[in-house]
Amino acid sequence: MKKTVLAIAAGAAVAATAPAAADYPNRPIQMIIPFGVGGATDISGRALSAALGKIVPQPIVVTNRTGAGGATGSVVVRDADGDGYTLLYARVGTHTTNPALNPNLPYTVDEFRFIGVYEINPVACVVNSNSDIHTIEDLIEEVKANPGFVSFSSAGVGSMPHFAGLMVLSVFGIDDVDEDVIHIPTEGDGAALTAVLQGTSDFYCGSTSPAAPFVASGQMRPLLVTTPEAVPGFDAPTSADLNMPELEVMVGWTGIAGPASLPDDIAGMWGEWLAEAVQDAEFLRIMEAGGSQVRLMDPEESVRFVNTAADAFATMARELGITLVD
Amino acid sequence: MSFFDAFVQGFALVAQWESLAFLALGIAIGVVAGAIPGMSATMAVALTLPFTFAMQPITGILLLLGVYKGGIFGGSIPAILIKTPGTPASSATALDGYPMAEQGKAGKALSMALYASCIADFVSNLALILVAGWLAAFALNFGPPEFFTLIVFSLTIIAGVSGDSLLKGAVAALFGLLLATVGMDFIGGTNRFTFGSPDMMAGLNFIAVLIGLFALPEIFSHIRNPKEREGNVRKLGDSHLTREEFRGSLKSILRGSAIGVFMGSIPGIGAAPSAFLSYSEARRASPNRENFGKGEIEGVAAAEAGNNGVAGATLIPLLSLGIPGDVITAIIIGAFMIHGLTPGPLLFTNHADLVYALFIGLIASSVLLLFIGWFAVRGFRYVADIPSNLLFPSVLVLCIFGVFAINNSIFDVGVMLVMGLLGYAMLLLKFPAAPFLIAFILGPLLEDKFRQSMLMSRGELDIFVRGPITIIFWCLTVISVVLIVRSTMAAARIRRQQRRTSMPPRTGTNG
Amino acid sequence: MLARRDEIIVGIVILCFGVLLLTVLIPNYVEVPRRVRLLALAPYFWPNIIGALLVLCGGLLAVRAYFTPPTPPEQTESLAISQPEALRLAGTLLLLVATLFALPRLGMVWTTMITFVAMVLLTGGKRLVWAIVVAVLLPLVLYIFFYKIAGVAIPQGRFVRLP
Repeated sequence: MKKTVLAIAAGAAVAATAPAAADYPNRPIQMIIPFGVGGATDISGRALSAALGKIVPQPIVVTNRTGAGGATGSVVVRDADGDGYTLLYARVGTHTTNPALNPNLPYTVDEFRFIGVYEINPVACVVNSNSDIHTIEDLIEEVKANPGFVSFSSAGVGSMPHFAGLMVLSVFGIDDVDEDVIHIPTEGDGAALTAVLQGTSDFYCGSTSPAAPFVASGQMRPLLVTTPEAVPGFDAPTSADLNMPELEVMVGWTGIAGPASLPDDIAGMWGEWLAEAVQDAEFLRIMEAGGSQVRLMDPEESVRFVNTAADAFATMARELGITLVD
Repeated sequence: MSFFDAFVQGFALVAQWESLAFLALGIAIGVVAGAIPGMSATMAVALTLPFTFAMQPITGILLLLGVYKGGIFGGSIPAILIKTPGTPASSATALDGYPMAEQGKAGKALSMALYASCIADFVSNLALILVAGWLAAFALNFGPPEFFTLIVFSLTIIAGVSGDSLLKGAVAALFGLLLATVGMDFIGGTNRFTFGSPDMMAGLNFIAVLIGLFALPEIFSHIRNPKEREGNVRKLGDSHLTREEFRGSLKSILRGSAIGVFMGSIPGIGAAPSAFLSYSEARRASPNRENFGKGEIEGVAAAEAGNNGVAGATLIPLLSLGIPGDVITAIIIGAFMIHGLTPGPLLFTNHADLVYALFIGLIASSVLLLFIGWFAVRGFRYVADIPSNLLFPSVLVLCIFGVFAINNSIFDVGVMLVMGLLGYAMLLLKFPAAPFLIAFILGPLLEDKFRQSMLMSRGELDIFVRGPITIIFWCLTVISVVLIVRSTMAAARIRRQQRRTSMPPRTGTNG
Repeated sequence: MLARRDEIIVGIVILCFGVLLLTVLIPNYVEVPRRVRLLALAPYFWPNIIGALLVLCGGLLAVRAYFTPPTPPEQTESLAISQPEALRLAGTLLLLVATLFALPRLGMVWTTMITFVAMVLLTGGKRLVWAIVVAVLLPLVLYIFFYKIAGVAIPQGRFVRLP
């Protein structure tokens, strides 16, 4: 018995001293997905981790830590050592919309250091195909005619669809969005779309990928997409068609972040690994099947991108008066 | 493509040895994974998912479905043997399965669980194939108000699992409802009872709660009085089920299957309410009502049937509407998408061969489950032979690893330990654990659906009687409450009479 | 069944908890969003209902126990606890708190090995050799299963890491 224990102890690395970046990585790297298994972040994160696993010299352990719209998992990474062994799959919800809507979150965006945003999700607004609403103008007229009667569903308070629904309406001239439309939070994107299908809510603005099957089958009708380019499968005006460039800030994204104390050289190594990983054929296939656009930003660009988006959304939330608490 | 062509092509897809082999492999993985406490069917499916990316669509999806079905049955094994249900649904199985194991009838309980599972699974698959279209249309009518009334009705089953005192059952349920409010508020997004902890914001994980509530009190009882069971090590017992036992439970199995099909076809309910509803209906209808909760084999049968009856039916909204009914089907949707298949109405038109292949594979899975489960029952029942002073520490270690693995959280392990203490206090003070658990599972649904309905109607209460479904559930609730009141009053009368006849009234020393 | 006096105490404790919930816990620990459309949508709506029902049920329990004739002693389950039993339970409580504290620091595998043996010793220490064998093997097998096969990052602790 003693022998086994000794053998294991001898074979094990002693991790009492903090590892220098020179020999990074010398043990498995934990990558935390702050959402549940099977969700969009999970599929995307696991696909990238599989590709990274072929490049990074140490194994990558993917871990789901769900709860509170991604806040619980985010806090775990914020509190981790900045040694590059604990990283987060951050998403538009955890690091843009939720911090903007909820000033009481237990973390802020600048407590993280981004090392790569790799995925962009266009956003679309959809309604039930049985609905009288055929264009975004119809929707706006409906809201203006019956303030406080039109509702939209989202994947929960602080999620991207929550923000997107309010923001799109405000861009099209609804002044008091908080008063004039009703937000119905649901358990996730699937449930939010089900609500539209059932007539529980009138519309949904969110990532195109979960909505794509319903649009393809004719159960739902797209009203607009927020990108300037058209999205395959979505026969709807783009932000360019509508001449509304302010919509373009509303896109989903996924990226990798560590705690703020993550050193430059480790961030640089990740920049190189990611550049290689996003070329992986299997990864690209999965992303394409899910309807996301792969676009890798290097560490500096990622930090800029996330900070700009976070600031813009926070300002918008304050101006629209849609923050949860004062 | 005609129905017949599609059917033949589908049959050709399944009849390859690899399809069947992967289905069987999936079931075996599921049964073993389900048998490990804390390793739920959900986790097993999630872990298998990446392996299916490289496979043919049909083999990959059959593998996942196999893991799903196997996992749901597998969860009954630890529930019966060590009172450590791996899923909320199998906690209903533990109510009678564990007392049976303590009486040396573990083998019988496991066999009954297996037969009930296979039959319910089969019924559920048949329902999927035959009435999917009709049930899917029904599911689409199930908005928040319908949901709310269904949950109100489901809460009346608390009375069936309250044991001696309805009032104590109600108190236990209230505590369950209260604990379910911990965390970030679903509608408002603010925190409730989190005391500043980011871990609490996520709410209390229900598997941690249920393992703490069921398994740990047994460990504390053992430590308090280790000699109790020492001389009387639980025997394996015969795993053979007599024809009478089977026939006696058959009605409950079929009723449970029907309940499972109904509950499974509605997205978002899950297997636990179904298992408990089936259990309480069986208890209500049974002549051995008194024996429920003390080792009644029909209780095991009803719970497992209700649990497994959901498994095929959750695919109804998935395949016909593209709506995942629970976490597992949400993962399976991912598998479809990876292969470029989109569940929903178009699937039947564009990939009819695949749909029929799935149907045939599902029917095959019920039969395969029977064989694989048979071996599992024979293998796992030896757990009952382990001496208790080694068994209980092993259960604790299993629970620690398993609960941690659910969400990679040591906080969850802490939740489990605290819930264990609460569960032990409840055991000592004669508060039943099952109402607590049911309320804890249904509580968030009750509150969220109520508030979603209020949002929809801008505060008008008449939304709760907006259609025939809501009215049916209100009627069922009223009937249920009347029956509860009548049976409680009858029981109280009998107790009073017994007291009067057995004992002359005396002035108590502790009054 | 419990003794009548015990039932009354339980009822009163529940009643008091309900009052505590309504007066202290809900006002102080339920955050309220900036604007609430309706009372029924407020986050304190359900907790208040639960609190009120707890007060009601606790009161009913106490009142019912008070008016029930005392349970005959042979049907009464005493809550009294003998000294060795109390010591063992207190020991378990300490052991569990220590386990929880040690899990992230010492690592899950080493901690559960020690907890296992401690628990066997606490219950009399029979079959000690077997206990040690199982105590070493079970956490290792679980570690291999969860870490190597299921890919779960089992806590490794700060001292000795497993491969």
